[in-house]
Amino acid sequence: MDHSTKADELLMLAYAKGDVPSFEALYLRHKDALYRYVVRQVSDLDLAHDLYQECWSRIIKAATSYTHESKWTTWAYRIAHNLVVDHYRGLKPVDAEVDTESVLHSPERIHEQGVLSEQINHCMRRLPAVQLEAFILSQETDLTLKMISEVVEASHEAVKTRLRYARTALQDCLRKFGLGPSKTASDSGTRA
Amino acid sequence: MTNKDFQDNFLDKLYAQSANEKPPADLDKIILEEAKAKHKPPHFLVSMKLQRVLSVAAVMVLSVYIFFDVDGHRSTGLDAEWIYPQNNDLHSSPSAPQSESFRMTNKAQTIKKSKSKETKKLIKREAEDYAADDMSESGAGAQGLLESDMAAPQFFSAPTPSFHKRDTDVEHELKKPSIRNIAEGIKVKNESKEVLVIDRKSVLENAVKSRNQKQGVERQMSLPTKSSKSNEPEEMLTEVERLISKGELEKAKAHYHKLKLLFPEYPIPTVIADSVE
Repeated sequence: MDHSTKADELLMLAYAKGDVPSFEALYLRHKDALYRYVVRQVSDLDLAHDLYQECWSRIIKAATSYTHESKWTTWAYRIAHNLVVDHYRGLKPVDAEVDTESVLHSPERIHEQGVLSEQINHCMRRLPAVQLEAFILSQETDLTLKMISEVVEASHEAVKTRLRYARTALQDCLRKFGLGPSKTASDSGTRA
Repeated sequence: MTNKDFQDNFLDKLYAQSANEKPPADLDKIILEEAKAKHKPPHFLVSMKLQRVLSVAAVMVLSVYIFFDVDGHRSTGLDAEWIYPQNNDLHSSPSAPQSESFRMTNKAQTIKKSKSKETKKLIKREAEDYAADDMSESGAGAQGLLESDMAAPQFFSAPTPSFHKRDTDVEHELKKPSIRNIAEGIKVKNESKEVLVIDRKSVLENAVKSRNQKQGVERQMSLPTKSSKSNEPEEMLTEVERLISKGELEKAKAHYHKLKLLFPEYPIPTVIADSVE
């Protein structure tokens, strides 16, 4: 049976009835995004792994009680959100100033991940937790603002504001690294 | 496109380029194994544990059934002596009926032994009596002997009162349907009684036969019978005297003639002869 074209909800219902391949398809489809959702909010990698595993365990255990009323993505990220909130709500984003030189010229970072990724990750870590979460959800999932508001348990307007602030803060941070739309493009954009 | 949209698109592209983190392979494996384990059939040990629990439950249910249904349904396919106690009283010990049955069996065997000894003694004594009679009672007839012989088994077959009492008790015990051993004991006792009666009869018959052979048929015929014993001359004469004294002369005369006919040589006093004639 081809699971790639099936909706998330149908795969989850099939798994609840005992179809393990449906769960495998669902996992392969969402594992990376969910992993990044957790890892980019949690600075401790080991703890992030624990939270990620716990998130999927809860999804597995709650499979039989899953109903088709809500979108699977909303339901799953709500579980992940609760886990992250439980463990990291008290932590603040990094307040220290960015050492741009060290980031740019760190050979290890360049080798491992690439400068661009490290720079944007650095800027994301400076965001407040609620803005970061809203930004990651908007980037990693196809959830609408209304769905995101359901996941993070906030109003639609609050989520919209969080997203706007997050984007502005990221653009300002990236500009410090010399990253941003080219002047010509920016100009043409402005003109447009 | 506004400058804001352009900047947003740039940020999205930048994020997409940096979004290359993936969960470790071992973490994937652990999660998928967990998902598989949730829908695995029950483990063999789990099923064994379940079987053990079910076995214990079945034994308990069977015990309760036997305990509460012991009086109601004794005619089940199971062995009644094994499942049910042998008496109706559940408060008594289950081994009590068994010991009772053994006791009765032993009693029957003891009775059999004692009776056989007693019977042998009686038969021996009877044979000795017959031998003594043979020597002393030369006048006794074979018919009379036969009559006494026929009476002998009745004497022997009559059991002692105590024996009768035991028989009654045993029959009463036999009415209890579940005590098989008691029934067997009674059966043995009855058989022993029958054997004893048969033995007595056969011994007496043999004794009579041997005696008849000794005496001879002629002598037996010449011997007066027990009925003729009353017609002896002395008795007949006494009877005649009694009738004369009563004044019944006709009867006295008839007896006198009979006496004269049977015993012509017997001396009759003249007083009697004169009074009759």
